[in-house]
Amino acid sequence: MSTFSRGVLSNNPAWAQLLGLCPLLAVSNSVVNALGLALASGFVLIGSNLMISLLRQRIPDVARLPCFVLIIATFTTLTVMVLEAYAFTLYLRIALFLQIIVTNCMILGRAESFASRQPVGAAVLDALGTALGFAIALLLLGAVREVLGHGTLLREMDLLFGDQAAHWVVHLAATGPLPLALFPPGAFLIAGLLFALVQGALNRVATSKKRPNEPMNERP
Amino acid sequence: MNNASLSWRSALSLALIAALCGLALVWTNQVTAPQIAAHRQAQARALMSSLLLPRQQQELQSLQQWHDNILSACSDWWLLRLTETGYAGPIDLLAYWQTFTDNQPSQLKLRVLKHLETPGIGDFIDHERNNYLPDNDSLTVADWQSMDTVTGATITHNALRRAAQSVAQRLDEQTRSSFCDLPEQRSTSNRP
Repeated sequence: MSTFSRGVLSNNPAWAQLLGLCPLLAVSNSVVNALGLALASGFVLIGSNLMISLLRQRIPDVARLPCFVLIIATFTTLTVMVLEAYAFTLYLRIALFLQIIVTNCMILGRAESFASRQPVGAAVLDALGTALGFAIALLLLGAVREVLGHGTLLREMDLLFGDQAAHWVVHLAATGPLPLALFPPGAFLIAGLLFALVQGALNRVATSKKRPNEPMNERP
Repeated sequence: MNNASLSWRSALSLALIAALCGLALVWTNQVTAPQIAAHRQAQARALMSSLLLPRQQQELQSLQQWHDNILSACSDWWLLRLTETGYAGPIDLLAYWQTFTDNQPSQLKLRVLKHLETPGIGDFIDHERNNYLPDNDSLTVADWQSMDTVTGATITHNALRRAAQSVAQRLDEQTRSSFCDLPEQRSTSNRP
């Protein structure tokens, strides 16, 4: 279980390792975009970890990196084709960032450091944890940016879930209080603040667990 | 000998992995290709309609077949599909070309169907994200050649200029005339 929870919290690819930030910052301007990328990245991560772990005895050590990239590229292309076929409008929005999942160091990192050395069960568990951690970071960022930029939450969910999801939108304000949130500089600022908050909270929890009887603040 | 057998085994493993990946891609492509083609066709059709005037849209209804990437009812409008090389790869474009009888220069509208340009910097060619191309719908080919380049995206903008030039060359009077003389065009032609 620790393999799973490590990827979600303490070893989260976004706020702990700062991996995969390019698509994370570029696509997370709404919840639906963030969810689309989270699902796509998760599928590629889980599929490639599973395949690499299954084939780890067969993959020659000298050619392991090209093999990993081939497998990751295959899963990425499958994801792109499926999304283009069944969620075309969302695909048009995030297509470029789907294609660069191939070079996402989070996925290659898990393949090299974990899946290629561990049995299938552990590799899938690790991928599930990492994918969930990445999805949480993406959705958190997407939700905050959408609220600040558009003044809504869950807008355009019909792009992913069909016409019935068009009514899921929650209007919190007539316009977004901070339109900058929708642009790359806003993404950097909000991501930095959010990740610092999350990391700070995790550090506090870890410190209080280590020293349960000591006071948190020793300054007078 | 050991090394040789090891390399054979490695090659076999690589071939097996490549075959597995290839099979998965071929199968998924077969399943998704019709759906993707339908989406792309609908997208291109909607884009074509958005470029045409209401009268021209009616003429478009009767047309089905592109011939050498040209579509026209042989009246005063022409649609051309073309590809130019941008900064990060090919840019697929759709061009609308309207001719006038009173020696007025032809009007050109450009739309990008597909591109791989840098997000943010190259967004100005994407009419879904930026109004740059719709705002320039009234330009002629000469206007396109003389206008200022977009700062920071010179290669992308030059691709648009080349596209404008290419439209004028590919839809010259002779080509238009021979296009309208094709047997399948004669049956649907609205040429006076």
